[in-house]
Amino acid sequence: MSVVRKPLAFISRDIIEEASYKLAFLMRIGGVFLASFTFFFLSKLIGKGSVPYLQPYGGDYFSFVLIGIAFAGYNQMALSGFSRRIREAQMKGTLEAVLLTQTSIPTIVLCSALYTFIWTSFTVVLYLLVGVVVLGVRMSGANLPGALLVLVLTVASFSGVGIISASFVMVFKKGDPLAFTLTAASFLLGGVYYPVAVLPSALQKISYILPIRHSLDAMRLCLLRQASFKMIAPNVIALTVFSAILLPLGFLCFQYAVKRAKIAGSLTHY
Amino acid sequence: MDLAIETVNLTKRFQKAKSYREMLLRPFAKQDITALRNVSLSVKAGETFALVGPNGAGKTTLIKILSTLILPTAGDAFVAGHEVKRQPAEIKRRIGCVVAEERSFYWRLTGRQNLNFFAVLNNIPKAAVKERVDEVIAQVGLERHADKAFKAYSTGMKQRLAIGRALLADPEIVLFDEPTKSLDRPTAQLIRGLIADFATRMPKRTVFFATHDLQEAEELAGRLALLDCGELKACGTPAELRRAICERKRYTLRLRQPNERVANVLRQFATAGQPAGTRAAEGTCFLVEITNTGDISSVIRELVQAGAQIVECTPVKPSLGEVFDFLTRGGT
Repeated sequence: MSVVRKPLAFISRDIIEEASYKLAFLMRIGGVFLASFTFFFLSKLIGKGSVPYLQPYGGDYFSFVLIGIAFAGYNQMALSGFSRRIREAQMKGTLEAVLLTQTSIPTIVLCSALYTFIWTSFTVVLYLLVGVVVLGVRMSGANLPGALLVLVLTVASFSGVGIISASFVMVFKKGDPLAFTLTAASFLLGGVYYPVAVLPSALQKISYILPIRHSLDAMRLCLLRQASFKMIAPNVIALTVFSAILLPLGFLCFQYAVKRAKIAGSLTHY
Repeated sequence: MDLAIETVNLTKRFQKAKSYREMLLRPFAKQDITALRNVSLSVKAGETFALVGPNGAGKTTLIKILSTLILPTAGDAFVAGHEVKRQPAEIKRRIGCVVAEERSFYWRLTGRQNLNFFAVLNNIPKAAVKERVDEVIAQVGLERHADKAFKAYSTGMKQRLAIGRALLADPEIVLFDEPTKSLDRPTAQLIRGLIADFATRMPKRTVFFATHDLQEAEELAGRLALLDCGELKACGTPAELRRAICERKRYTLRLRQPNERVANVLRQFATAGQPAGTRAAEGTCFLVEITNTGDISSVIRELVQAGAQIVECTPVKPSLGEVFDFLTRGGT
């Protein structure tokens, strides 16, 4: 039980804080409905024009984009969630107090982003519920264990990048070229709003180095095409490799960044 | 002798931030600012020790090095026998740190919620958290306010909660960085009372605090270190520090109706400018400073020969402020 006490303490702290900003809380929930309906009507406009590209995912643009925007949230959460929480703590002045406790820095970094992860998961569920219940997306027979596996690997690989991104914030405070570049590249090349197949072949090749491409591909296959584990295996392997490289690399970078900040005396500066 | 804190030739240099012009013209040149220069001091376990110095003296840098938030450039620092560079986790288990930063709490949480959070982060067992939080809330006198949002606290209450947080894990050593900074006199006195109370009730615990207030340092600490521009100027008990300027003994002489000859004698013995004179009902007061080579009895003898009627001769104990000024201004 002691293993979960610290994560729970962070989550509880963040829930109390976030829920106290009632308007922002309600607006974020409203945003899910707004985005869902926007893409629903957009899909009507697109109609069946792009069916060849969408065929591997069932042919329906709304189902395609719904999963894109829902799970791209994890990408954004991981890319900017860690660095944003560290930056917030620097700005608020609470980082110093937390660093003075008997909790290791990696635990602090990981636990700081837990609430954001839970919130993102909540919005994903909300997106899917709105899609399925209100707007008629069909996901019957979805490979849920496969989707869960993809989700875990997605979060692990994205988090690795996110922690590297937090290392930039630790040293440079503001201006994070990695998160900026990867967020832009993910939305441009990752297949969030349109299939990667519509891109020129050179860009399609580049898209393979982005975890989001494999994540969204596998997630769509699991939820919309009832794909088996065998079908999603290439994506799962790619995401496993990303996780195995990026997570340890993230922690190494962060350790180095903390050491640099301690030498510069800027650990708690903003 | 168990040492709670020890620094050996501790030096900290910060790299100066470059302007855009310097970045273009001299991109690889480094400019350093020395915050601490070869500071060596030791604090015994159970001692209440004050680090005194003006703003920019290096007090906060030293406290941050001891609390493992900053790495030293050279030299060593040990806290409870553990080296700050290599054993930060061991040190954090043994220290509590009070920073003069009211933003170090979560403003939308109550005082109690804040303490609960930090108690968990300090590995206080689940079963003991409530009891321990209640104890420290009582210790800092916040029972009536513990369930109010932190944002509604006054500055003094915030500082009391910061002390409570530092005491949560029952630390061996408590570091205070300017504990009464920005507080009004009654609140500052209250905080000083809390520190004194802690030191009295927990005699084996070490209190190490930084302050620019010499009176506060003398009131609370058994020993002090005077820090100026990153250099340790002196270290010892208040009496020992006063002896550092004992070569300039000072006396107040009260004379009745001094004449011109008497005034000449006084001028001769005064080492720093004209002797100050104030008129009082019983006579005129003179402040006379003599060096170690001089002797007050010879001054009195000459004054009497000059016709002075000496009503009173009292040695003047130098204030710590004067000691500090003497030591930091090169004894002028």
